[in-house]
Amino acid sequence: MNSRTVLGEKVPQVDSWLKVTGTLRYSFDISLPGMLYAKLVTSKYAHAKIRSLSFEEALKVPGVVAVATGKDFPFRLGIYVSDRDVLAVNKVRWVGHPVAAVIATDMSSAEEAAEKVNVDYEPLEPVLDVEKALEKDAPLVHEDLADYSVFPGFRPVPGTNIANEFNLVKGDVEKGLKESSVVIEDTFRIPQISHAAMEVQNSIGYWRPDNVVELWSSVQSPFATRFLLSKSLGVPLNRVIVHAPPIGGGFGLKAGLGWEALVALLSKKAGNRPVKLVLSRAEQMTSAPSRDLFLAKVRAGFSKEGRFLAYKAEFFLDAGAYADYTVNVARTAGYSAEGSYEIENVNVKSLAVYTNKIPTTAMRGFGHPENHWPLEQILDRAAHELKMDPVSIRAVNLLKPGFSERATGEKVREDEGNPEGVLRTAAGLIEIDKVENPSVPWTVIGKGLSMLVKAPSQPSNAAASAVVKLNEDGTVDVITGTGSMGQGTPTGLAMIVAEEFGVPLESVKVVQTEGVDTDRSAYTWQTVGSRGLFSDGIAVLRAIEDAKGQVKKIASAVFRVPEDDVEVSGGYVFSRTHPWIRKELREFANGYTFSDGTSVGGPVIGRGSYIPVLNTFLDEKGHGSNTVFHTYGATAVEVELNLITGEIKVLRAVQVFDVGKVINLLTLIGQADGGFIMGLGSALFEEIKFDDSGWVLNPNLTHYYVPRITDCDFEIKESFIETPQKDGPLGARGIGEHVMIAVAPAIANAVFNATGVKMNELPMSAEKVWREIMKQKPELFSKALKSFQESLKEVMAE
Amino acid sequence: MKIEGSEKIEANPDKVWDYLSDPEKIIKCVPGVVEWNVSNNVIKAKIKQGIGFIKGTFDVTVSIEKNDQLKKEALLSMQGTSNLGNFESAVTIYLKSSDDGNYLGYSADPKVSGMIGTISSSIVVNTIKKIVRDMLQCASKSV
Repeated sequence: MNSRTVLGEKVPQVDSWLKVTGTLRYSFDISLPGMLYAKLVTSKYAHAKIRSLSFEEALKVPGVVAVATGKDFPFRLGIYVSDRDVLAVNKVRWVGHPVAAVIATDMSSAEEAAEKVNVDYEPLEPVLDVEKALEKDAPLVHEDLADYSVFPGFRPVPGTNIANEFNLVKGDVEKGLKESSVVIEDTFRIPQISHAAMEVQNSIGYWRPDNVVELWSSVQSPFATRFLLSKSLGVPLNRVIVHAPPIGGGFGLKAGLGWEALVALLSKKAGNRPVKLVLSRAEQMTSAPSRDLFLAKVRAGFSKEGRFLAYKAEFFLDAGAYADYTVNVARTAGYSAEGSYEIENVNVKSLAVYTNKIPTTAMRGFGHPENHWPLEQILDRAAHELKMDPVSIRAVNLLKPGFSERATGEKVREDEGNPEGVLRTAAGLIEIDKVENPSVPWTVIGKGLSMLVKAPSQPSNAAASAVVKLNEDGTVDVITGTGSMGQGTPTGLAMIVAEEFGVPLESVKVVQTEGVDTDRSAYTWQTVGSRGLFSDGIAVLRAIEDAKGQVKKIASAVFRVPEDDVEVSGGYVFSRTHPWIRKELREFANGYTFSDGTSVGGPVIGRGSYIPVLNTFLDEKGHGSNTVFHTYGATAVEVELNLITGEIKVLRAVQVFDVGKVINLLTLIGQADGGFIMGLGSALFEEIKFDDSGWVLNPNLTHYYVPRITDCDFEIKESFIETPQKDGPLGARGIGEHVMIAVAPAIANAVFNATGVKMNELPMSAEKVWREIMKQKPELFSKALKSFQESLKEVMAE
Repeated sequence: MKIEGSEKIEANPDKVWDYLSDPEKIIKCVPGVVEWNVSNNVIKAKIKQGIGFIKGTFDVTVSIEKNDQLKKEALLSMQGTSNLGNFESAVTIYLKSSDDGNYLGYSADPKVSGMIGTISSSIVVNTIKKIVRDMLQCASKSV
């Protein structure tokens, strides 16, 4: 009766057809009657007072309706620390900081007028370096930090540039270091990088004449956006409506609050007409947030048997001018600094620091690409010193589900996953011990791996809800709060519903596939943190149970059997004890009508919700219980390194994750492959470059290089382990972010294992690798060059 | 980035110098000017200009710090801002005579930031030379 056919299969995304035919409507495609267009006027200085601002000439441009400045909008915004203004007030804090916005009937008029807005600046000394920002007499980016509202658990330090300070303490780290046989000490660095989503941020705001604020925006978090707007603007929650059509890639950029407050307020200023803002790529890369710059100073001690005895780390996250989400990224990088390992003594200080650079925000991995970059390299370096192999040193130290305790004091759950299985699978698939011979003698082939673990970093009460409605033709509508941004959650949820009711997948419609709407969708906190399938999935399962309960009640009356004898499965409703008494599920969708016309029950609408019940805030030592699930993974690579040019070429990659339960194999493979390529970009190419005045020098996708298809000419082997999470949806866990976290350290470890060259800074561009070879192992270059020259002579002789 | 150069003056050099010294006049000869304002020997102008492959509108402020009418030598301070980057410089201009005629000489050492700082200095210098040449031609025709 129960036709379980879809789970674990390779199922194309439910919105594939709409996407490939170009019929899926993104927020950019939306146009409203009477809509106006906004253009930003941005700062040309990293730090300056606004002496005066005039726009009389701009107003004379035909088509211009209004010009707004920071003084029009005296609101403070922010998800964790309300450090953002809508438009700059009194001073600018980075090159690209919006100081004014022109509203016009068409885009070209707005652009023309924007050039006629005159701003007179008094330049101030900028602070552009995260370490200099911490010096005693450093210029302050936010003089009024003490007045900002702060979410519980965050600790800005007024009078400094520290947006948040987080500490994690376990045991006595100095004692641990003293007792260590091997101590690895080094400084690691990752530059600011861009999310580089294909779709730039765009928003339409409509402050309606009835004072309802309506938005259409490229957002990952419509409900959080609604909440933050309501709080900032003083409009009741149910008078803010956020429409969130599918988005063309978010990666954290579109989490929290984006440009929605600005367009809403511009609409009000323009006489309650809708206003649309679409960023150019250059604006996206200079006026909108990026990922933090990360600096880590670490000391790690190991016993002679390879036990990880002590980890002392200082993390500095350059948060740019507005820390927004980055205060939580820094906190997360801090509390999860030990990764997949049980370390006896831990002392981590993690600071989010303001500078006069582009603001920063969440990005895929949320502090984990950062904290895994030093951690996973330290293990290989310690293994080398101790004459161990990279697998053994990890295996000795891995967290043991059911036994270990994290540095936060949180117990490692028995059903948390199989980290050792992940490690050994990755090592086996890449054949870590097998030596490969290079095709030419001036290259070397190296293999490296890196473990990873991550949990969603979210407030303790990050909830989700779902509604499941049966239709009279047997189809099912599912209403959730998680939308579609290419991550595959709507397809996964549809598969769960099809599975549980036993109906064909085509019969299930996840309404939010085509967009979330805060008036008509079920609440979910945000579409972030790899939490969608987990949180919404649990809510959907509970909604299914609720719907089934209603069906059972009706069927009990129809079949004249007790409710607990009724089973709903395989698209049918039947009696367990008398299975020949059965009817199709569709017959119960709107209640049941007997042959004489009498009816029983009513429309079946199942409702389910989810909230993490045992999570707490972390205290001043970083102790508490703040996670709902952890997903373990490992990335392993085989790379070829050209010792003459420094170029790294990936030859093979392995991605292994303990997903708990495979829901959609095709989504998992897509995530594993896409995440590897995104990780490859940040490992080898990506860096937002600044000059010494704070200007971004590469605000476009020509000079900011993301991987092209020609960079991806290698095989990726994906493997998924299933250790069910007892309270997960059918045992599943999320992996949306995990897939890119370990790529860079795996590649760096491959380089180290092949050459002994340590790579502390990203990106590992050919030039940077070459410089490190020349600094650390110049003999490798000389030998390679000689062999190349000899080879050239042979070719010439032929 | 040092910028130095000179352009031959075909017209009467004294008249050209007088013309160049008058902000109200010379601003009309700057290529790409879309609006300007002169007050107390300070020129504020919006200038549309392309440098190499990039084009933008610069908000430029020029102050005449010193003008030695006898020596025919002036010191200007210039600063400009745009979406492409900023520049700031002291600029010296002077008249000089040689056997083959009269020349307007100029030298500057601008501090440049942003995208314009990424452009090859030879492209920047060539662009500036062309601007100066166009200005002189315009001034020569106008005196």
